[in-house]
Amino acid sequence: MAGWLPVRRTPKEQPTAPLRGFKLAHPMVSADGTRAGFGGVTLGRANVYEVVADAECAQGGRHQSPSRWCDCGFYCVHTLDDARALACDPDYRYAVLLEITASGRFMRYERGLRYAKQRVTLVRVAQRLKPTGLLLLLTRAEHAARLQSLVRSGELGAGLRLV
Amino acid sequence: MPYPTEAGMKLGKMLSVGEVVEHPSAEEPLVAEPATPIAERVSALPDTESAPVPAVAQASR
Repeated sequence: MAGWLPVRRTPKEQPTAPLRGFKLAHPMVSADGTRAGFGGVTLGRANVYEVVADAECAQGGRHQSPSRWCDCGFYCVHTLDDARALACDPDYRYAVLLEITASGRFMRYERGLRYAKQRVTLVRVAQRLKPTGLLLLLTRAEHAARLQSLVRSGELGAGLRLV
Repeated sequence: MPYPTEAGMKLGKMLSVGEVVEHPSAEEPLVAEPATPIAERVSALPDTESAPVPAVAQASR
């Protein structure tokens, strides 16, 4: 068996409840103001997802996402502090911080998850300013108001909060 | 790909893989189909017993 690398199986787990995580995203409002979503910050920046979304391969692959052999899929970190540390990067100063629940197939890493299905449960925009002020910086004025209105009316999904 | 990155961040080593099913939560109650009594469903069916047999069916007998 010379030349063969030892095979180490990745442990498997099957949680009974969705997993919680934190991530950054760019808030977006559709042109007609009736829908809102989030744009990814790096790999998924070409895709816009809504409050509940399934991952697709950002590389255009037709495989299930996430895949062990590809870097696609939704990403999140385990702790709010890690997400806040990311938000300090100048490249992400226009991003908001999302709290999500992850479900479907997932891969657990030391600091976060890569996973197939996501539900946004909380949008954090008030890191330094009040929500309205920061949203005005992030988006056009009418979009900021519309985004808040969509969240508060529950049109983006029951239980979604904006702080 | 043991060290995928997102937002310039390393997630670290892969520890495990798994699958979790998102159960319907209290925030999104399941919308149940309105229950219809069986008697109503049966009465809504067409009465095929007393209907005249189509001519084509008769000819093929």
